[in-house]
Amino acid sequence: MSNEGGLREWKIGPQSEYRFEVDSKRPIAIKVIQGNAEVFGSEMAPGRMYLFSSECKAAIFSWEGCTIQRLDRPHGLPQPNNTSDVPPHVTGKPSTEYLSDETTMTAYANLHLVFEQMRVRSRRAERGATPDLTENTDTMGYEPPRVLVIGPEHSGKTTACKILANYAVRGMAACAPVYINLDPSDGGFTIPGTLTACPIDSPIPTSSPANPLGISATSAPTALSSSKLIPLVHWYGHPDVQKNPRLVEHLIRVLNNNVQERLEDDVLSRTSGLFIDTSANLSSIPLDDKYTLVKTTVLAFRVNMIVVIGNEKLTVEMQKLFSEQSYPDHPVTVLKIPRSPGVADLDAAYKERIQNYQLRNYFYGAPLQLPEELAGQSAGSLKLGGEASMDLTLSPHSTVLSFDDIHIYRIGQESFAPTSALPIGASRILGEMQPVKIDPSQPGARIVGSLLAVSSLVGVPESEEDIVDADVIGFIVITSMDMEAKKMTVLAPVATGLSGRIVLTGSFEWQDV
Amino acid sequence: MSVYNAYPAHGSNASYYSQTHNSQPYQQQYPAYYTAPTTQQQPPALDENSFRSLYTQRLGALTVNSRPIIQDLSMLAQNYPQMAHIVVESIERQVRMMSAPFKLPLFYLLDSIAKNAFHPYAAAFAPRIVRLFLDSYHAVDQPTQHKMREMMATWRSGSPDHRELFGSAVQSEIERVWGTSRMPTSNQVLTELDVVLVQKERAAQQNPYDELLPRHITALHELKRMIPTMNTSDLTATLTRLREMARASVSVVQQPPPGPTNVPNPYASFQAPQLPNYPPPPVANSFPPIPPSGLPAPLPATGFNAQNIISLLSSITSLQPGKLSVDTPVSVEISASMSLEDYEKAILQRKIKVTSTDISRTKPQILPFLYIKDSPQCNECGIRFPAGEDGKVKLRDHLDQHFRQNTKSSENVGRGFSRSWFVGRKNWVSDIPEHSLNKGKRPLAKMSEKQKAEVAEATRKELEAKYIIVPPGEEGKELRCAICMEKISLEFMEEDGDGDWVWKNAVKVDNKIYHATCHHDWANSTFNKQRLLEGEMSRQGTPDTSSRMDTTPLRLKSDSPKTPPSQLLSIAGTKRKAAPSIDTAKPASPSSKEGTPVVRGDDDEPRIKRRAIQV
Repeated sequence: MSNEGGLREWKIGPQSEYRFEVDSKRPIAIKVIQGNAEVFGSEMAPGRMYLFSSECKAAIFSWEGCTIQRLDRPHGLPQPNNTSDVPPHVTGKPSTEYLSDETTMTAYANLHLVFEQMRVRSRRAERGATPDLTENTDTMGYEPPRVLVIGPEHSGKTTACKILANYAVRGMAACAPVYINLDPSDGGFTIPGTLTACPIDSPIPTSSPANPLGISATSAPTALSSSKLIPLVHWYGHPDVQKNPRLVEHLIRVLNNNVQERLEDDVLSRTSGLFIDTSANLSSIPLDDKYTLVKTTVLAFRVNMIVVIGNEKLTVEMQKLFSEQSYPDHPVTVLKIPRSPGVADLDAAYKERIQNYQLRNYFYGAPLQLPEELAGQSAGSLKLGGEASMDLTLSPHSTVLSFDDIHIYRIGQESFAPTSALPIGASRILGEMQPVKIDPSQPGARIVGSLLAVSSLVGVPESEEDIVDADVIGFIVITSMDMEAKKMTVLAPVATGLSGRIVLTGSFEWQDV
Repeated sequence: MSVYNAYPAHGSNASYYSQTHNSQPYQQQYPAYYTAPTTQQQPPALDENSFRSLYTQRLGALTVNSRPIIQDLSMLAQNYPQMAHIVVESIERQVRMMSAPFKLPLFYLLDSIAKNAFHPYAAAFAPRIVRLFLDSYHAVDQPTQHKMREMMATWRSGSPDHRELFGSAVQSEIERVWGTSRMPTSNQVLTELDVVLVQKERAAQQNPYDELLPRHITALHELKRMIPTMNTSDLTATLTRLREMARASVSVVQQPPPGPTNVPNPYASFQAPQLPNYPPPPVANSFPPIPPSGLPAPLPATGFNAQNIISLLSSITSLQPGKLSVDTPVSVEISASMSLEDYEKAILQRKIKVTSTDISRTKPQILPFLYIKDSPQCNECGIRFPAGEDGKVKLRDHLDQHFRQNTKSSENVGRGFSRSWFVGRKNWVSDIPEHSLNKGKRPLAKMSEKQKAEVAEATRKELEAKYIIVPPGEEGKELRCAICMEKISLEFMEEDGDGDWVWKNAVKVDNKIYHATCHHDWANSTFNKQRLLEGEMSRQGTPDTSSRMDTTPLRLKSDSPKTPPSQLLSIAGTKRKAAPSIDTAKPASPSSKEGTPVVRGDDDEPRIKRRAIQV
């Protein structure tokens, strides 16, 4: 922990981690100079500069100990001139940083071993190899691990999935587990409000919460498959599962159908298993009973491992729920692992900012954010590590569409006016999954500023359920409307491909500022 | 406490495994001792004479290596420490009296007593043991000699404080007889190595999570192969190391607390001296020295250097077991050069219990696999690749991509890139990287229509055969399937003259009863639960929302490979058979529309497939 020449050094002990929280406007740069280190299971290349930005809260962990250097302002150096909105006295310094040897990585390493054994067995069964009886037969069957991760809020569910997925792709055998994000409050592969699935075949880096699980495909050149992910995206439209749990339940089934269809042919992913990340609400839904969504997920995806993070009660209830008596044909192992003491509590405001980062990132990419010390240098000269910190600047397109060009729907009941405002005796009973057509020319449609999801459906849908079931190909924002000319301006990632599309609204709004 | 139970693990003695032991009759003979050895009974008071006659009589039964008898006699000795002199006397007399083949079990008994009831027996045996041991040693055949040497080696650390069982003087006197304390022969080293190996293997069984033990064992096996080619100084060094290890590992292995409950149980797998399959004895009849050429042919010498092995041993003995060790593995080499099969084997060999406690507490064993030694690694992003040509090619491609990306992005500064549209469902499910595709068989998907129909038929039959026994008193109750709302038919099922009323084609899930076929369809469908709910809702007031279902155009002819329409229809048809009484008094529920299998079945998978065709 010395500070020389503008570098602050940290010695991370074995099985310890360096935790940090980055300020919004002050990205930091860290380099591993000795030993092996990883960020949430993704190994850091030694000697390379890694950037962390956008209020990133992360940890650099080392199994055997390592030394890292964080860029720091050397003493006595004149203040930089280009301080626009950064206070002059602080640069490149996380708002919080500390070392801790209290981690839960042991549990993840052991879980990974269990899962890897299951994968090996599953692959062998797929190859038709005869099982070797001399080997450890503790871990069950020939099924690959299909893992559901649940737990209370801020227990580190996404981090757990990420670590486990990153470990999975790090073995000697090719592996491509499907990562399924059922947490609509976190964008995961894309923006919030979605339920997504994506096969992962290379480590997911962590550099900014704007793209927590890597970058979905762009037209920019990329080297890593984590920067050109091809997710399957279903639009739910709200950040909170509670808003329309029936729709979530339905989309889980649809998503599963699609995933299963792919896995029929995709042997590598099939034998690699699934990781299902969830929102805390998934296990407390006011449906038939509070575990309805968990049950749906477990049965649909044929989950055989439930990992509960840091909650005894939930663990016991899961064990009861999926006991052998209830599901004799569907063995489910419930494991509890401790919550990492390093998980930061996130307030609602932070979550909202993250959702904003993710929305912005979808349209504009993640331009390189350098600590001030490095300002002005090009990415190429810095020897940056990985690719997550590459300069990914995207240019969305602003297009003018006529009202008839797209068909706007909203799924489920969301009254345009409160029920109390309806005439006496009238009631509005709309199915939670009823697509409702919205006419933008109606006063009250209030869709300016709304984020819309573009359905993959082409042409007139055959039925309403098709609208609900269809996945989406991207998102647009209505930036302005001209009622008289019946035209609207939309911001779209790509210039073409919008006319005739069905688009779905949700409760997200976004100001392009 | 005893090492006997692990003796058969010796490579050369593998034939022991296949031999049955003779303990069974004795179990019956001494039921009181055998079946309830754990109870702490106050031993009945006996005077010296009756004890002597009792003990001698039982000793007479010990003519084979029988665990129960040895246990029995050990316990007896343990329970009467005041009779130590009688026990010692009786055993010595018996050893001297019995002919050569029957001496070994008596020594095992002696060993068991001395180790389990150290006080006062070890001291009582000490003055006589050298003579007794050596006399017997000369009398028995070679395999038995080998056994005796093995046993003797365990005495070196056999006392409760891991010192010589009968004192160092006795130990060195016995050992001196064949010169072990000065110039070790390879046979002696082998014997001692076997003992250490057995200790380690036992320890490994007891502590399956200890990462070090498997390495020690592998190292020992390596060492074993080297011993025949070692020179004297190497042998001496090895022996020293082995003894250190023996001491260390004995102190590490968790010893069960002493007491009658823990009389060693290991003898069972032992046999009487005559061993038909025993390999040619490694020991020549005269000693010392024993020519190494008398050994069973060792594996051909490998590139291992003996000195390396010894330093290896010393390095692992110095590691403290129990302390987390994430060092690069020494003996079980997990490196980039291992084949995929080896990797898989190594993964499967790690032992881990799938419980919350073990997952959180066990020392991680996976680390060598996460940081695979020497694996090709991209120095730009840290990604590792498998070893071998395959990995090299991948790494080269990967670096090419980095290069391309770097040049392109510097060329294209300022030029607009944009987020791509997602590929859409149809492409997502079918665009699979070449290496991920199944090149071999496709069990389900490649079935012909006919086969699929057969499978579907079988599934349906299986489902229909399911039933629930009607709880007593509920025979008159009308039960409706919670999905289709139709009656579940009641039947009387006769079985072996005894009969039960059963609900046919029924399953119980979450305390609700469904038609088995309905539930199966429902579980395999996606939209239905919602439809069902909406249907219920519509009954309550807005029939128009459900009528939209009627406007759904007729399904296109589906070429779905999954669920041929014929199957769906057949399910629908038979379901009616199973539940023939359609309740007509249900006006608000037009059964042709919602909930009935016809619609539900039709609504199944083909809907998704259909879109794939149409898009």
